[in-house]
Amino acid sequence: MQRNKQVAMGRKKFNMDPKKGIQFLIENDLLKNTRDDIAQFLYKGEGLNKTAIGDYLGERDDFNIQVLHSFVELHEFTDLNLVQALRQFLWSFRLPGEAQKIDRMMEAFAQRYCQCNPGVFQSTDTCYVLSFAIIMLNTSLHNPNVKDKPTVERFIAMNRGINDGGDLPEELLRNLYESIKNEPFKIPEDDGNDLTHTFFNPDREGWLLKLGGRVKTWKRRWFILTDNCLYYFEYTTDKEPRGIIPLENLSIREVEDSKKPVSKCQCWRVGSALHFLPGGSLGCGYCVHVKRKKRMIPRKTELCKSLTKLAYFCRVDSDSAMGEEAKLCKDTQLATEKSCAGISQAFET
Amino acid sequence: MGLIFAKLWSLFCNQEHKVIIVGLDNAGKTTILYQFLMNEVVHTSPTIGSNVEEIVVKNTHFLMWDIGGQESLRSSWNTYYSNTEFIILVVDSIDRERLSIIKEELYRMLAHEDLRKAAVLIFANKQDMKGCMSAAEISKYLTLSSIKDHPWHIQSCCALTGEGLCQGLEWMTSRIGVR
Repeated sequence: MQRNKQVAMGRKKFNMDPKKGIQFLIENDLLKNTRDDIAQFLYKGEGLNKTAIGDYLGERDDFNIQVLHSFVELHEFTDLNLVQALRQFLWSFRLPGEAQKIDRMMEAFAQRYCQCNPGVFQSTDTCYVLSFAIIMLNTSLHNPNVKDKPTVERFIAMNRGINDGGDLPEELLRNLYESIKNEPFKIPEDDGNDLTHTFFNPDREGWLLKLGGRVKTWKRRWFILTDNCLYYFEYTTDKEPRGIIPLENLSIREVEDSKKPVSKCQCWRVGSALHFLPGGSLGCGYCVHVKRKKRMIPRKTELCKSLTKLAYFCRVDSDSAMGEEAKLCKDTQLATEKSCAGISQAFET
Repeated sequence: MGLIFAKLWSLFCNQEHKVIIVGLDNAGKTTILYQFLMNEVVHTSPTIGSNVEEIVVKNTHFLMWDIGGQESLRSSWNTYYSNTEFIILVVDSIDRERLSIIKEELYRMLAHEDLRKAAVLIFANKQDMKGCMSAAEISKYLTLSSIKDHPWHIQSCCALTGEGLCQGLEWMTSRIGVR
């Protein structure tokens, strides 16, 4: 009891002055004075202010830099593309605004990213320079003080020669640019008991087009697949989802839909079991569709509203340069199929 | 008549001037940047990324970017130099040891194509500390008088109290008239 109280006090101190907080916890034997233990404490982040975590990790002190590296190693970036990995990383603390701190953090991030994804970049250095460029791009595109927004051409031109003297594929840079333009990095929220926890570290996430339930138009929604549920949001920064689609009792199949907004994409229908009941006024449903160049993610709808509705997932026909997206779609599909296989089988027999 | 036109012109044409703030870690760049903003209402919707602030002095708009000054002199940082009109170099006047690094970095920047037209304002910061170097000493060490191809100015200051910062900004606005 006494101990819990002290830990809580340590967290409070940390939020006011990170260094003092850590010192307090160590002096009271609540935290071991090793880089790994401190990194773990920050990574779990329970009750900690994300700005304070960022301040601690940004210090130029040798020990802080070691903690930064241990902290980054706690992140798992395997199979994430660079922007996805950055989004995850930048959610775990508030990135300070000092260029030198950003620089050190991106260096540590790039090392870890390349370690998790060997072969994606020729060298860690390339990954690091590109990561820094992405942060600056986010600043230029979304900081309201910057009026002169760079075009994709300028972004590509700025990144000439960063691949060990050579250029990175233009397609890659275009995709990065589009991703940041459409979706700024989220400001991490402080630890609390809201839903944010659920939506953090999802299995999959991305933009899909969804056919409206009431108004039959295609709407762009941010989807998150986690805990066997699809959640969708109007904006990635929303805290509350607009709808939830539990993926149990669902069947998924590919359908042809002449009205789909993008011709070169696949359309998926995610239907509740009720869909197969005779006479159901089906086909209204929800459509989700990924625009080309965007990652596709499943989404969910409110169960009560969607029982008699179907969801369509459309996806970009992938093989063209959008390998990552395609894979994502496939995974989503698999996960969904798996989850509903049992039910639909029962239903059909 | 001409004067009126000039005035009207300046009212409509409040074009932004790009400023980059450089200097080593802990020199006081962030403190200076936010001291500039002290008397303004800050209404930023926070953005992930480096600090960028717009400062308005006598109708002149400056867009100030913290781009650090990288210890790891990677050539790619040059890309953030383009269109820069002013460089603010912040020097920690206590830190004698690293003055040579600053000197190296200063001349490297001055030699860069994209900064050819940039004017340099050097802040000799932390003048309130005991044993600090004076602006004249720093100027001598950095051999500022040898810089002929860039307008430059050195200003002693104390970022914590804001002393000296206005004078620095005034020099910058005066340079704009010269162009």
